Amino acid sequence: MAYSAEISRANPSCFIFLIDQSGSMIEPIAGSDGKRKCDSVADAINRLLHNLIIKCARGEGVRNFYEICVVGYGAQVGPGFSGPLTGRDLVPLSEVANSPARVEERIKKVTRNNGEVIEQKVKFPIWFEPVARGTTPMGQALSLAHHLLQNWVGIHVNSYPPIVINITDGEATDSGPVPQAEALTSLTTNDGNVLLLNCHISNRPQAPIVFPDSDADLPDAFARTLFSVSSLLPQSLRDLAKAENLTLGPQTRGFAFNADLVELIRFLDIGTRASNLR
Amino acid sequence: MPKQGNSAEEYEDAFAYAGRTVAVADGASESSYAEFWAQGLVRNFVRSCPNWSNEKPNTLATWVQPLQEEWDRHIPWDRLPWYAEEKARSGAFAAFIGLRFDGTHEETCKAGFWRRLFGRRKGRSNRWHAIAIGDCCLFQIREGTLISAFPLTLAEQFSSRPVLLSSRADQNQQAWAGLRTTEGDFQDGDLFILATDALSQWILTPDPAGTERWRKLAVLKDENGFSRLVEQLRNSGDLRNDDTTLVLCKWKGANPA
Repeated sequence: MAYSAEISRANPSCFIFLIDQSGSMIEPIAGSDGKRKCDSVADAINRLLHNLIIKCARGEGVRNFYEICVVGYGAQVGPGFSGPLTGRDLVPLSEVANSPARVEERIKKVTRNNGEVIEQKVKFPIWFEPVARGTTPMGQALSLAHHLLQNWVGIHVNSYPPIVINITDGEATDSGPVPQAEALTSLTTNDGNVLLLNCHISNRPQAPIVFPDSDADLPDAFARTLFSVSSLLPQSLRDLAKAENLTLGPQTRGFAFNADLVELIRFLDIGTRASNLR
Repeated sequence: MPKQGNSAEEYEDAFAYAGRTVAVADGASESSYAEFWAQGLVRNFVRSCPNWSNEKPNTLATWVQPLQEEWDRHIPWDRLPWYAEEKARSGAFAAFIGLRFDGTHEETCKAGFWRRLFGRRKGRSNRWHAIAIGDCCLFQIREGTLISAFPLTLAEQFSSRPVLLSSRADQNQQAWAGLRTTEGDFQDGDLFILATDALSQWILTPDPAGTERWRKLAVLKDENGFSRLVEQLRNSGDLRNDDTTLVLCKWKGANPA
């Protein structure tokens, strides 16, 4: 069965995040009390990396179940890590864990089993900084992911397929995204094709749409285009979504529209929770 | 047997036996220092077996408290990087099953730590008691028939997210609610199989050939035979690749086998 490979250190998987850094990302994200889109996305990526690292932490170390790449696209297209990892593309998870640009302290609300909500001081490492400058060369970003993964799937033929998560607020200003996305998702390991999940964030006051199975409710042609190049969610990911109380049909695609930060995190969390991580 | 692809040091199951008690635990691989937690549980169970006859979770919460403190002292908090500290703060988790036989008896022990023989005691009823949290299981075989399975009885009941016992007291509300106990009689020749989840699920899965799977375990003579069987079952895809632990206990009357 496809998308069932065990994720292990011998057979790691891979995440690539493509982050829109165009000038319009400076505008407020829908439903976030004026928080800039670029800040919301940076927070979400940092939190996601944080969660992934904690999930793979054992004893004093982190197991390299994943390689991680963050690509920014705006005035430039290229690796998006800040700090010691600046300029690096695919980085083993343990190295990501040990190389944040800096570590902030934040207050986290934790709900205990008895329902009590307490505030806890937590360390909040930053790997990725908000940027909002230039145009939207999404095609180039997808091509860069294709370039990196073409190599990767050749080396990791039995691995769980890489997951590429593209977060954008608008139309591509180059020839993207269709031909580049199709090339990207045609790459395969023995366990299935590369998965492309698209998250379209916007400042339109429209209710979030998460994991739709048709483009009927999407507001414009660009959203429909992004939907069309998003991967059909494999059964194993649909099962995980079900555990989050999302009932998804076989035509559901890995797409979210206008997801506010909460929806975005939820969406990303599902993408990262491989069912058979051991 | 450690999970295929992992080293022996990464084995996070644990088992122990002493006197009239035997215990098996399965440290959750997604938590940190789970092996130490699982070891502590089984060691303490056979060293100072809790009395749960009143089935009050409080009894067990009290029993487990020193172990939780011991686990916390074991963590090298001051030298942990940020992620290891956060992970450890969420506690270690383990499935656990403990079995206790009533009465006094002469123990008989055959060489080989995986196997335990229990001597007979006279003049009292032969009762056993078991306690479980999570998906480590116990099977009782009498005269070639499986007469009880505990706490799970069907292969479909296994999930990737069982309720587990935590090294943090404030994480155990669900565990105490999910605590299961049972008891029964035993007699000469009865075989008790204790196993961690992957093997338990395999035992409870109907075999296409129609044979009862526990029979393949009952005839094992030593650890080598167990290792060979586990490898064979993993390679054929019948046994999930996971740390796998088996303990066989057989009542042999006055004369040890």
